[in-house]
Amino acid sequence: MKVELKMVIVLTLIGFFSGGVLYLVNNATKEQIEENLKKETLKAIKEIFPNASNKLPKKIFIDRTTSYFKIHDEKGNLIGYAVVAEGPGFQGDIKLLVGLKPDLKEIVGLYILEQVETPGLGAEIVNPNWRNQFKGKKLPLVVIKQREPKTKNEIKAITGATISSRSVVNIIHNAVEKVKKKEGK
Amino acid sequence: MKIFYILIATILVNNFVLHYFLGICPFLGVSTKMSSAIGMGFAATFVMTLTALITWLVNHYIIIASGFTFLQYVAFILVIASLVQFVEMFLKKFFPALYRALGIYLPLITTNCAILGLALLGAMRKYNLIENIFFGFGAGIGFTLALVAMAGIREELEKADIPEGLKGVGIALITAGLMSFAFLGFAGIIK
Amino acid sequence: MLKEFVKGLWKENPVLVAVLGMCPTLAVTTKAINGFAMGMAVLFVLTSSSIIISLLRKIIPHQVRIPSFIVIIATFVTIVDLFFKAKFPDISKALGPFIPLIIVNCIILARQEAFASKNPLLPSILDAVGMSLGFTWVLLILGAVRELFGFGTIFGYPIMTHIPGFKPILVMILPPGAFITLGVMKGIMEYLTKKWSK
Repeated sequence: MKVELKMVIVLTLIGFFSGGVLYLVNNATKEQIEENLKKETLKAIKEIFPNASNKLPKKIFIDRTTSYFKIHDEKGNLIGYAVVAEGPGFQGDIKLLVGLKPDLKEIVGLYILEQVETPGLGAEIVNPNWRNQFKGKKLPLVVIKQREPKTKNEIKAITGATISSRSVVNIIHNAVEKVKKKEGK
Repeated sequence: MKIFYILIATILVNNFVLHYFLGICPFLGVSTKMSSAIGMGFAATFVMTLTALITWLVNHYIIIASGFTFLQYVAFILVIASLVQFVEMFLKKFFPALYRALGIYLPLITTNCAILGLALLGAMRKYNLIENIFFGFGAGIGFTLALVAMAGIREELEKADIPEGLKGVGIALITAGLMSFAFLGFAGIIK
Repeated sequence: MLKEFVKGLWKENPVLVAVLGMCPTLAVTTKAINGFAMGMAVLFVLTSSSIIISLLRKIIPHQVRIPSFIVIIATFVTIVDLFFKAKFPDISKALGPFIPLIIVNCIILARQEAFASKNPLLPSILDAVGMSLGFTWVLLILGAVRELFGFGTIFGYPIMTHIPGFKPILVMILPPGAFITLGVMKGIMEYLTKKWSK
């Protein structure tokens, strides 16, 4: 058989087999992968809104870095918004989920979904000890250093990781502005 | 503005070699001489910029459009392998002197993790077409920068007295460690 | 026969001797478990690809061997990636883009080109497994050392933290720590090799 023809046949066959196998494996794993993603988002939402209904609400997209969920309790009352936002941090992008009261002015809680900040410094943004201070704070937030927060909008930066701390606050501000516009608030 | 940040970040702060550990094989293998470092660097930058362009198009108009996201890796690597093949043929025909100068470095670029790495990272970060192209270009420049710096140091090290076990790759790795230490200092120049 | 398996472990160790597969070696060894997972992923990809390529070695025309190898390798890598995403999502996140980067891991292509495409099935399998294990132990040690000094734990178990006054050495988890530790490992290996060959 001519070499060129053999080349084309072999490559095409390999291509088809590859596509076929991957299609099958993808189908076999698709559901589990989606489940994993849902579980993680639900876990984050539940940590911030313990009274939230167990069903994952519909995701509302604003743009490629921002989306949000309307959070209802088991009875169907709106108890807040969970905003998923991405933005630049110190070492890379930070992806977070911030919970807000229905007025979109007060923070209910903060959960860091993804970050690649410096371990021991910027990466401490995932530490509940630091995140807890966001509970009950009012927007717009102000980052302060070297003293404890005095007013309802101050956030104390992580010592030695001011940039990571500021990045988190900026991401929250930008995202909430967008959600406010979308919800007409 | 964002493009400026992408360039600075990719060349200095998140240097592909010294921060992301992409392109280490050529970094260690090709950086013994300044001339090879420069040649490899430019060839890689050229391929990376083109890769950024074509993988973005393939990703948006084929992978995402069809929904067959599981074919992304196969598609990307085929694009890269073909691109390198075409670049080789193109250079051989129109710029034979350059082709001869680059020699074996060209086919080596296919397995350079920096190329596939940039295609994947660009896709993950969801850049638009222009941003992706600059990301590829920046990645190439950063790679070249690391390579050239390493070549400069290694040429000097040739004259130094290094313990037997560390000669060659060992001392290159330690040097790379010190270089990446230095580049850590760039972190934070972008707010 | 056994030689084909053993050579990958020390004498022709892909990382420390052939200086291949450096990218994942440095990038994912921040923790021992990540290094181990990467090793297992490579074991699966290298062995599966070697099996297919060895079986097909007389059918694949020489001129298209590289693209053929690459597509086969990319297929198995996608399988491993989907598997990790479904069954071990935390490890999938930790290893990130380095799983798909196994496709261009020079070790895999090198073994196909140098061995599996030219040898029968059984030796190819032994070669693949040996090289993969050689890769894995280097990653395990590198990961364990970096984790021990950078976090104070091994495989998540606190060890150094029991020593009073121990403070994690941050640089071990960052790029400089990776480069320098690997450089030292390479130096030690060269020294031992020279010593034992006397």
